[in-house]
Amino acid sequence: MKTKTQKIALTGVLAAQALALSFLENLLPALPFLPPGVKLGLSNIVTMFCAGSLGFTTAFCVTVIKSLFVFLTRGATAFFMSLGGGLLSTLAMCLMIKFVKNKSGYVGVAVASSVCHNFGQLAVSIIITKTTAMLSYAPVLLLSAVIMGFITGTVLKLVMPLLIKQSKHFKSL
Amino acid sequence: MERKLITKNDILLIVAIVLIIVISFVFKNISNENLTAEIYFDGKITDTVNLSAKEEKKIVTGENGKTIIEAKDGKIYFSSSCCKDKVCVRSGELEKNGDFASCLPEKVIVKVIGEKKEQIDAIVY
Repeated sequence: MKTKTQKIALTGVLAAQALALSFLENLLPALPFLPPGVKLGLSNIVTMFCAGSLGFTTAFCVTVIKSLFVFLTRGATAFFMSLGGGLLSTLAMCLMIKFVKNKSGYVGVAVASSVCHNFGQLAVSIIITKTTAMLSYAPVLLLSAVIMGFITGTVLKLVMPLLIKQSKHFKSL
Repeated sequence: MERKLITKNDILLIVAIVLIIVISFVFKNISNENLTAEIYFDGKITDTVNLSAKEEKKIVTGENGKTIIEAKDGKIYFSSSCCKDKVCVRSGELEKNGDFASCLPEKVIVKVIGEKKEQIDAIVY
């Protein structure tokens, strides 16, 4: 019983961290050289840590909690965009971790998941607008996914010891 | 999760993606003649503007009817919208073939396309 409670508490803390990171990201001014709509995807760091160290269920939980928060603060359109991108990217990182294992590094997992995140959002936006006009944006999204994935993967490698230390607090209770 | 920062496979993955990007840019239609802007609302074309003729037009559309698109000097842009994120307004002026801006909360898309010419030299019976 105790372990389950600990896991729920840890998932809650990690979900809060994912939310805080995406809030922080929104506070940053939009850089003029970035195409509109392109973001860093910092909360992906937390999801990747969950998928890699705590199990795939935790990762999906954090993704859904994050999307629900987006629904409360930014409305239905943003919710579906967040959920579509989030679920596909979490699925991608789980598949990478399960099947590619150690043949791929942090950067590989991050790039694959951010590419899938962008395509998930693209798919949702096509469904919302009922046109395929958005597809012409795909190359730009793909390029930004590679760059942002590289950044988030590197940051994950750097904060990994801290995240592991944090989860140990919950296990040694 | 013990793993390296970056492996050979990661580099291969990135190279493959970059190749796809380069190829898709090469195959993009780059003719900038007879440009037309198409305005979509809820998946249907509701308006077109001839950009090459420097047609001036002000279009009011969107889910809440408060999204304003303006065309001037061969350029078209979202001048204002009642959405929260304003990604559409930040997209700026569209003036080239393939340029594109959208306002998802208001279900509006603006897309610039070049003339689709059928490249047939002759028809022989």
